[in-house]
Amino acid sequence: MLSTTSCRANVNFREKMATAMDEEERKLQRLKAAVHYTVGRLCQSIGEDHQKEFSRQVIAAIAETTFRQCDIFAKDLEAFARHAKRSTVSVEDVKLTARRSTALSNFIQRKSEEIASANQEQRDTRKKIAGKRKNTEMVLP
Amino acid sequence: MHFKLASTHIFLRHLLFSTFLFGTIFPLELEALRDAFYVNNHGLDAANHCCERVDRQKLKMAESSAEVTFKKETVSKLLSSFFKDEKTKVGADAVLLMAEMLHVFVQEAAQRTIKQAEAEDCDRMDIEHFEKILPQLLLDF
Repeated sequence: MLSTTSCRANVNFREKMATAMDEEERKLQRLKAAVHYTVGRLCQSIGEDHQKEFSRQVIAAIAETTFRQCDIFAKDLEAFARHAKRSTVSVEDVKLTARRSTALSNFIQRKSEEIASANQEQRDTRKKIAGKRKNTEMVLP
Repeated sequence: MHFKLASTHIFLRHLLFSTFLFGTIFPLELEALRDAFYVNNHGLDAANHCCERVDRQKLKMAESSAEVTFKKETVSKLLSSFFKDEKTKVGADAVLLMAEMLHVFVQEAAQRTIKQAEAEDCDRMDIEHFEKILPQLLLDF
């Protein structure tokens, strides 16, 4: 009797592992499809600009390459964050990932400054709105 | 000739792979998947006609390649799925910067493929043009 229960436990455990892995697989496939969709749109618009057409194979290949490149980026980002004894990936980590080409690092530097200034503007407008609300509240008794 | 067939087969398989998907997906990506299902069920010609019609409609919305970008949630989930440590998170600004970087990656890939095709005097981008620029692209990133 002991052997049958342990057998059943084994089978249950194996089924759970299988379904967990299926879930992971499905998640990955969904992500791949999302990347494929955006890459397809981008390639279509770039092709339009040059009056050329991308074949479906090329779009699939670019999507697959982007997906795999993301893997490399993610591992790099994680390593940089851990090196700086952080658990959250920051903008500095992303800038380090772009270090290989000067043009790319300059571009990323400019984009990061744009994003930072956009954040600052958002914070300023929010402060202004909060300030006005306080003033109106104090005026009304 | 033999190698070319083998590589196209692999990339076609990757394309078909992404058609086998079920469950909730990011809303806009559903359309791309519907097209992908057409490839499986109604043969390649019907798929191309249907996909081109849908793509032309989407093109009217996204005029320039500057407007098409990767969605924040997609990038965030993509990076998180590749982290080895579960505790690693990505900051909001870092997600935006990584979306920009992936955008640049896809643009570079597409434009180098176009240049390669133009250098070889071809009207249509084929997988061989992409294969030729792939090594230098990966070294530059």
